[in-house]
Amino acid sequence: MADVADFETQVLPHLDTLYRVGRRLTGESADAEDLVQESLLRAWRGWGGFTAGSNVRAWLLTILRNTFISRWRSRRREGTPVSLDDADPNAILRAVQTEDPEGNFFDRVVDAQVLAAVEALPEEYREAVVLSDLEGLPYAEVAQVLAVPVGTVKSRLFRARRLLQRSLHDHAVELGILKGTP
Amino acid sequence: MSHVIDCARALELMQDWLRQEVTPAHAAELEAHLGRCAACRGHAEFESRFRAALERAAGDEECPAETRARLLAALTREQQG
Repeated sequence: MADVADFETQVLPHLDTLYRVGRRLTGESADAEDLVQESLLRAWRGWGGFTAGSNVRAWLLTILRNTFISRWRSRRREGTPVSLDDADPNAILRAVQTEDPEGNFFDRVVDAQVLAAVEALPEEYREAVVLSDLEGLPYAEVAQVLAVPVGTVKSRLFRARRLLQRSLHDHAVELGILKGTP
Repeated sequence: MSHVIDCARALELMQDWLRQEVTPAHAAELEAHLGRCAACRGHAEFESRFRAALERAAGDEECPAETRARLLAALTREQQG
């Protein structure tokens, strides 16, 4: 019989993290609650298999991600797909940096727009950015949750950040913060 | 003795360097490159502002109290089930 108090002591401190990641994966707060609930129940049922002393946050996030993939992914409303046809991610950087070399426009883009841009990323990029850049997990922990090598995490993040920079730049042009190159 | 790196390699290392997730040897290579390349110093400034925007947006939103209560109730039902 798994120990209820032990489970709650170790797992509940990560509830806010699970909720935030759930929000970013599903895009909806109601779905996030369902996703976290299903994940918590799965975690409880699997608690006997958790290795004491290993990384409980990574273990929980792995369960959350697997639950999302098996139950939610097909239902999620995808945003407008971001074009991936750029051969050179650094060309994106040079293009968005042209008008505002120091990136001052980033200071004027509101948080909601940053999160919307993250949610519009293709899924394999979105999950890497959410875990790494929004939740601040080290690369090794992101790699564990996504079940890919650290090098793959870094390469997804590298491209994802360029796509985000372009998306936020284009948003700044729409708002008139930047003129945009003709 | 660190290797001399080009701008493409500097851009690869830059995001890891800003996150402080880079080996000391790579940090030294990048910093040496930044010392002699104004373009990459500009890129570093730009990337740093971008990181700050992501960190601000990440915030520290907590699971709402009513959601937390429902989650814990469901968990208790499962545990007593």
